[in-house]
Amino acid sequence: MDFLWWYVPYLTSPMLIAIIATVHVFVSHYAVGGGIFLAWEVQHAYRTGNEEYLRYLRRHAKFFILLTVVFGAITGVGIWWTIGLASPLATETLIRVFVFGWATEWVFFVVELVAAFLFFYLWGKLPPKTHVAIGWIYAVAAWISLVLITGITAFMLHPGNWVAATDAGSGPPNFWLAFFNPQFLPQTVARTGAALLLAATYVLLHGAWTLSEKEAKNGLQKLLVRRTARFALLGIVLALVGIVWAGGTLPELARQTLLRAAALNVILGAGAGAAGLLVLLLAIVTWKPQWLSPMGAVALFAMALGTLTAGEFVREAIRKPFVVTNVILSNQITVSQVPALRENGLLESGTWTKPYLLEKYPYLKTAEGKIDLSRVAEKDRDAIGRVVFMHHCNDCHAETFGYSGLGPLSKTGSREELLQFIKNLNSMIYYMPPWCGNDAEAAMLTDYLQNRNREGNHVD
Amino acid sequence: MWIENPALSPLPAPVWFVLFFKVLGFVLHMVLMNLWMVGLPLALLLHWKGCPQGKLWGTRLIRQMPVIITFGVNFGIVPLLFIQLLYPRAFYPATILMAWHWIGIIALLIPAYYGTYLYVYAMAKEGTGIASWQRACGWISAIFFLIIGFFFVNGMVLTASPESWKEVWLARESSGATLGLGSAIRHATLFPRWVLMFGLALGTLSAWTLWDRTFFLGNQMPDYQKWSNGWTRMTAFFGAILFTLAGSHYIFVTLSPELRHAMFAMPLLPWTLFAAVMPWATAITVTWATSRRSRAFPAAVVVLAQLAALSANAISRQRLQILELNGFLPLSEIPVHTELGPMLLFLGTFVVGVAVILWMLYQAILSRES
Repeated sequence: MDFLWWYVPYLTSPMLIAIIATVHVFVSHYAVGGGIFLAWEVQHAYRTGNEEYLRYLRRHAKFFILLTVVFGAITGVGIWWTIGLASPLATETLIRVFVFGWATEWVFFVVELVAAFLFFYLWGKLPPKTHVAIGWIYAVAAWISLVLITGITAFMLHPGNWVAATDAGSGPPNFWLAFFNPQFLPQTVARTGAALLLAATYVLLHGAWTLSEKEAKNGLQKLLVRRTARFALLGIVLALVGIVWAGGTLPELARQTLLRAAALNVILGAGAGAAGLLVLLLAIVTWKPQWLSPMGAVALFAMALGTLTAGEFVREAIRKPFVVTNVILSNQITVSQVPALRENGLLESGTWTKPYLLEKYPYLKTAEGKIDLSRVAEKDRDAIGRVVFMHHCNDCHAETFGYSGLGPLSKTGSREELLQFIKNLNSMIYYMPPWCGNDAEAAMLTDYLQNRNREGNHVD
Repeated sequence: MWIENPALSPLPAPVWFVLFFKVLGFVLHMVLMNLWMVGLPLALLLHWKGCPQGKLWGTRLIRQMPVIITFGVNFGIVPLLFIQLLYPRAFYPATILMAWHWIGIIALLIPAYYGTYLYVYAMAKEGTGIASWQRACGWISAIFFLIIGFFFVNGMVLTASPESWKEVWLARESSGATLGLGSAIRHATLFPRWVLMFGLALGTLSAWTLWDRTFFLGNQMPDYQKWSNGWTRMTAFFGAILFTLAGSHYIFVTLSPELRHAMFAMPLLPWTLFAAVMPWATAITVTWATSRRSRAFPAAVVVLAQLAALSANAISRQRLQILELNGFLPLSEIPVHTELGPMLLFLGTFVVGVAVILWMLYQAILSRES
C-alpha cells in the first residue's frame, strides 16, 4: 500500500525471494559449518602430523572459498536485493529495527573474508599455530554471522513481546527485545546443526569425487569419512533438538497452520524421513568407509539439501499470512492499517494506487480530491478490479496460472459466494490476510475474477 | 510532489552517525570498485596486447582482482544498508521501478566474478597461454562490471529524483504495478554521473599502480619503474580531465538552477571546490612522486591524495542527495530515537574487528618476511 508493487507474471515477485534464498542457504550454511570443519580438521592434521590429510584439506579449502566467498556472498546480497524489491515495507521495518544487527554482521563478514583468504593463500607459509588460529577466527566470525541473521529471521516468525511493547513497531525500534525473541535460541541451535550437517555432506561429496585411488588406499578415505560423519551426526542431533524446541515456541497461528496443513505435514514428514535415512547411511559409511561411492555421496548431499529445504519451506509457510507475524501482512499492509483501509478503501489509501486511479480515471475524483468508486463506469470495472487484485492479492497469487494462480482457485461458486469469500478471507482460510478494502472494491475484485475466468477475457 | 510525502519513521541513531558510515562505506567501496571498473578492461588489454611492462602491470592487477572484487562488493553493503535506513521511501520505489535491471546486477555479478577467477587461474598456469575462450571470459567479466556500474548509476539517479518516477512508472505498468523495466536513461544527470566516476577511477588506478610497485613489487625493476611513471601520470591526468569535463557538464548543464546555486553557496561551497580540485591534486602529487628518488613516502602521499579526492566526492554527493530529496524526505524532520545499546554493539564490534584484521594482516606480513 505504501510502496509501488512489482508485477512478475506467473511467478509473483516474492517468489524471487524464495528462489534466491533457497539457493543461498545451501551455500551460507556450508560457509558456517565448513569453516568449523576446516579449522577443527586442520588443527587435527597438524597435531597428528598427517601431511596427506593437510594436502586434501587445502584442496577442499580452495573449493570452499570459490563457492562461499563468491556464490554464497553474492546470493546473500541477492536476498537483500529481492526483499527490497518484492517486500519493501517489511524490509524497511526490519532495517529500522535491526540496522545495527546488520551492521555488526557486516563487520563479522569482513573478518570472515580476510580470514578465509589468509587461511587459504598463506597455507604452508604461516606457522601451524597461527594458521589454525586464523581458521578459528573465520569459524567463529561465520558462526556469529549465523547467530545475528537468525535473530532477524526468527523475529519475523515470532516477534514475541516486541509487538505490544512497541505498539506494533510504531514506537522506538527496541532492538534487544526484537532480537531475543522466543524463536531465537531454538532456531540458532537448529541452524548450527544444519550448518554442520550440510558442511559434512559437502566434504563427503568433494572427497568422494576428488580423492585419488592412491589417497584412498593410504587410508585417507577412511579417515575423512569417519571424521566427517561425526560432524554430520552432531549436526543432525543439534538440528533435531533445535527443531523440536522451535516447534514448542511457535506463535499460536503458526502452530495451528502446522497442525492443520496436510501438505506441510507431508513435507515435514519427508524431511524427517530424509534425516532418518541420512543417519542410517552415515552410520553405514562410518562402519565401512570404502562403501561410500561418488554417487552415494551425491545421494547423501541431496538428502541433506532436501532436509534443509523442507525445514526452510515449513518455516516460511507457517508464517502466513504475515511477513512479520502480527505486524506486517504478506501484501505489504500493516495489521494496524487494516481498519482504516476497510473504511476508506485500499485504492484511496494507497500511496501509489490513488495517483494511478486519478491519472487514468480522472472522472472518479471528487471535489475534495478523493476517489469516488460509485462513479466507476461499467467499462472500467474490470480494469479497476485488476488494480485491486495487483495490490491486494498478487503478492501470493499469480493472475491466472503460475504460482498459486487465481484462475483455478476462483472458478468455483456463484458471484455472491466469491464476494463473501473475499470479504471474509481470513475467516474462510486462516492463513489468508483479512480483507483490506471497502465493499465497492470487494465487488469490483469479484467481478474481475469472475470475468477473468471467462475464456478470452483479458484486461492486459 | 505528485505522491504524498510519506510518514517518517524514527531512526535508531542520529542522522550524522548514519551519514558518516554511509559516506565511509561508499569511499571504501569506491576505492576497490574503481579498480575493476576501469582497471579490469585496461589490464586485460595490456595483458593481451601491451608491451612487457604493460603486460606485467596487467598481470599484477588481474591477479589481485578476486580479492579486490570480494572486498569491493562487501564494502558496498555499508552505504546500501544506510541508504535504506535514511531513505527507504526513495530508494525502494526507485529500484522497484527498474527492478529487473536492479536484480540484473546480481545476475551479472556472479558470472563476472567467476569469469575473473577463471582468467586468473588461466594466467597462473605457466606455459600454456590463455585460450581464446578464457580471454573472452575476462572480457565478458569486464563488460558485465561496466553494465553493473551503469545500472547502479540509474538506481541512484532515480533515488534522487522522485519527480521523474511518474513518467518512468506510467510508461511501463500493469494496473498500477510496475513491470520493473524502467530506467533513468532520459534523466540528464545519468551519463555525466557515470562518466564522472570513470574520471575518479583513473585516479584510483594511478594511485594503485604506485602503491603496488612500491609496497608489493619493491621498486626492483628499472624498466617497469620507467614505464609505470609514465602510465601513472597519464592515467591520473586523463582521469582529472575526464572528471572535470563530466563534472562541469553535470553541474552547469544538467543540474537545476536551485541545486547549482546551493552547491556554490555556503555551506556547500568548500566541499564543491574541494571535490573539483582534488583529482588535480592527485595528478600533481603523482607527477611529484614519480620524479622522486625515494619511493615509499611519495607513494603514500599519492594514495592519501586520492583517498581525499574520493572522500570529497562522496561528501559532496551526499550533500547533494540530501538537497535533491529535501522536498520529498527532509532529513531534518525525521524523528530520532537513539538506541545506544545496539549502536555500541556495532561500534565495539567494529573496533575489535579492525584489531583482529590488523593482527591477521600482521601475521601475513611476518610470514612474507620469513
